[in-house]
Amino acid sequence: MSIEVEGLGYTYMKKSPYEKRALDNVTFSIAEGDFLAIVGQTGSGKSTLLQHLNGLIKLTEGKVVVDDIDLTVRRPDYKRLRYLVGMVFQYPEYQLFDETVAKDVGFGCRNAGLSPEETAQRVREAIELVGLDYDDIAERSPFELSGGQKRRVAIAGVIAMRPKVLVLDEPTAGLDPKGRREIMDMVVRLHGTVCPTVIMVSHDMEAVAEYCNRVLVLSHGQLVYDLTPAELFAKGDLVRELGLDTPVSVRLADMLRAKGWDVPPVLTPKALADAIADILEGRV
Amino acid sequence: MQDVSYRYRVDEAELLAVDGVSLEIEEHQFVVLLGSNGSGKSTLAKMMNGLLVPQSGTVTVYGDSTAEETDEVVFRIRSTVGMVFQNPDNQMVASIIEDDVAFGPENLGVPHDEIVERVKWALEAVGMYDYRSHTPLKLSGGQKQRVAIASVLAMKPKVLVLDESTAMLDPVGRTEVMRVLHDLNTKEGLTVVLITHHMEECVGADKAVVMNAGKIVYQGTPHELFANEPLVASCGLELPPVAKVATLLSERGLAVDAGECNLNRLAEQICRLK
Repeated sequence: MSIEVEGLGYTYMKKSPYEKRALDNVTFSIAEGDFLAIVGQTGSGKSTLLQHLNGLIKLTEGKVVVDDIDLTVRRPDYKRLRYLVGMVFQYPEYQLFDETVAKDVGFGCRNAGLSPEETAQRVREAIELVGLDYDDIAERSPFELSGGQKRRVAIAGVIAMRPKVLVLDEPTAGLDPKGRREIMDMVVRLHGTVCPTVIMVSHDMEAVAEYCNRVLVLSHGQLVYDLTPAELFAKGDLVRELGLDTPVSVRLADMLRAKGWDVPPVLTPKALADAIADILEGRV
Repeated sequence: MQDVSYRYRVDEAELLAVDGVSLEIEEHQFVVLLGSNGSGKSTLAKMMNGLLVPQSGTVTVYGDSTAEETDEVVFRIRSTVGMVFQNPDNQMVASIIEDDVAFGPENLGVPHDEIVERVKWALEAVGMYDYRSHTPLKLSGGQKQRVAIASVLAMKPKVLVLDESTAMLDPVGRTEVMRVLHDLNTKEGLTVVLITHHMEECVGADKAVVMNAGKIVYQGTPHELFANEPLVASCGLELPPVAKVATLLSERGLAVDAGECNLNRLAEQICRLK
């Protein structure tokens, strides 16, 4: 299972006064097992890129191949593509609509024509995978849940379709710290179990540094970096010029290096604290 | 706020959202109100300008009780304490930015010339004057939220209450809004009450207030709060990244201040260790 993107471009409202170039000659590939972050300022083309990955935007320029589904052919198999690539939009809880959590989570399965037994089994599995207690929550209205719970129910609806690639657009936006932590723990668990490939759009560089193995940086529709978080954040000011934050640990390590400290590359508070302690205690 | 309680009625059940809270917001302070979802922060905020009136206890705004129902008092309180909410789109009423900012003072019956002055001042204060004749539709989130703040400022409030007004913004937008709020606080003496889930927004605040299950469990400096990780964690919050590093270092027996949330100051402290 891999994703190949080659020379991808997209222009909104082509041949109109509102024409806007959203993506330009973007090339990268995603391998099974990747936990990939896509970062960039608002308007850099992140969402346009995501929407190409499951055919919500029709390919007009370049090439996208997901697994063995080639989107350049005349009639791509969009149905299979959408089962393969599960998409969690921003604020997915706004899409909840059904009377009970179980019905809401099972909506996709019923639509796909799965049997009631199969649907029920997948719903239970999905609710448990997102870290909720099925027996407690299945028959409750999704609207009486907390913000973080609602979001997990919405994600369970995607998981019930058993996608191999999970795409999340700012999964922690608007949540409180506990909610953010729970959602990220859940994404890590899903990545380790049912969804071998995770693609996440995020503005939270602390999370990118902590969880992702690769980062794509978009700027004005172009792919400017495709690196590991360590490589990316080592670029310091270049990253900040793109309007992105760098993790606090990275900034602090840079400040110490400027004062002559020999701090190794670090991405998380824990790694930095360990490195500082090691230096002070003369272990390095 | 003196021993204030508020309960919501949902169907048959009652939910005690704010439970006997006493809190004083002093003039010209920058106060950050923290707490997990459902802790009662928003309810407390809505009681600050009488959008909600407590069922017991009293809220007094510059001498006026929010329980008073005369138009005069309600008007006075609402124009003293301005509110900005999470989604700026819900707060925009006009199709041109300066009209939007003028809407509040127009409703207060402010004379025309003064409205023009106030609109200019308010838009300049948030750095959006150049956009005055644009439509708000095409602005970024941070710009929209700054216009929403200007629209409230144009009513010349003494206090600005912001209920998760940075939650929907990207980091650039959030930085813009935070800079505007600190400027207004220091230069104009505006009292700011900021509700947020982003702990790093406590940096530079005079006071942090933490709510948990309807009660205030901490009031004091952000610094002392973040030196107390068990308390922070027990309220469903987390340390801002700088304080996280500081706390980890202090746990390793190093002499740094565990609650430090200013990056430069922490760097200085670490350098002194060598």
